[in-house]
Amino acid sequence: MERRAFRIAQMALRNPEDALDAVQDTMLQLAKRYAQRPREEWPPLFYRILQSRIRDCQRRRTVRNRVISFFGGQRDAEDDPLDPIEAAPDPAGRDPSEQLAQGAAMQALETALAALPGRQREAFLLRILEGLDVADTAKSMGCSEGSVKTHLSRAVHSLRQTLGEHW
Amino acid sequence: MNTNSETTFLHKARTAFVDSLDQLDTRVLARLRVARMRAVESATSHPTLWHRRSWALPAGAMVVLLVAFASGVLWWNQNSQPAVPFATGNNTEDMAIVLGNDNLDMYADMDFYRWLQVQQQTAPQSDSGDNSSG
Repeated sequence: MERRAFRIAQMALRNPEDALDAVQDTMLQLAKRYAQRPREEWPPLFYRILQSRIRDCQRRRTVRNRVISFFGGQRDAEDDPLDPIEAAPDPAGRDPSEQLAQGAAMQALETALAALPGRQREAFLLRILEGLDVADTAKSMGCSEGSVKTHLSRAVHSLRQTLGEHW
Repeated sequence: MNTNSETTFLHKARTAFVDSLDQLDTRVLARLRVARMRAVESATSHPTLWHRRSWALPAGAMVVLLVAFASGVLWWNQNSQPAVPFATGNNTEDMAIVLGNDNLDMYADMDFYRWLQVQQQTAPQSDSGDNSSG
């Protein structure tokens, strides 16, 4: 579950470190607050916390970007750190071109998802990629099932329009 | 047709997503494992605290109720104590008796005096009877 959660957070935040922090914090909060709840309640609770963390992170990022742009728009070196571990070869031994081919579809999808409005992206990630049902998606998003269907329908329509040529 | 193409699109999106899970690097997987372990540890170390918290509210409410009940009982007892006798209208004569210590013995022997008076009233008749018979 945490791998899927990480990928969902990564697609929403477009940053692996922020995504890891969000997932880690979500797991801790779920364990501390809702460990006593029935097991079937965990997925919507988990994704509700995760969506909250993602929104918090996006809000902080927006504020930080405003502050940076206010003080001259100079990019800090920390914004684009060179991670030697990420740059290292894949331990599974896959050829870079093979990885590129396998990841091309996903990369295109991620790019298209990033362009969606937040609620549409949430609905698509939770309902289609994570596979939650409509009720659990609604609980995770904190809205009605009708809203989920509306957001999802618009998201699918937009994504198909964007990805139509590439897919 | 449209539904089929949409289903195909969604299936492809899901497949691409699942494939991307296998491409996560070991560093991310390790950090996720550590995060999961920490979460499990915190969940197992908190139940006692959780139970303590869940007991705290009813226990606190019970203590408050008991204190309120005890305060109520004390207040009720204070208000329901018989008042110190006070001289008003009808019992001024009683107050005079109580305050006059000299007369107390006389009132205590009131029954004796009444009996003596009855004896004195009946005595001449009995004396005359005795004389007539004797």
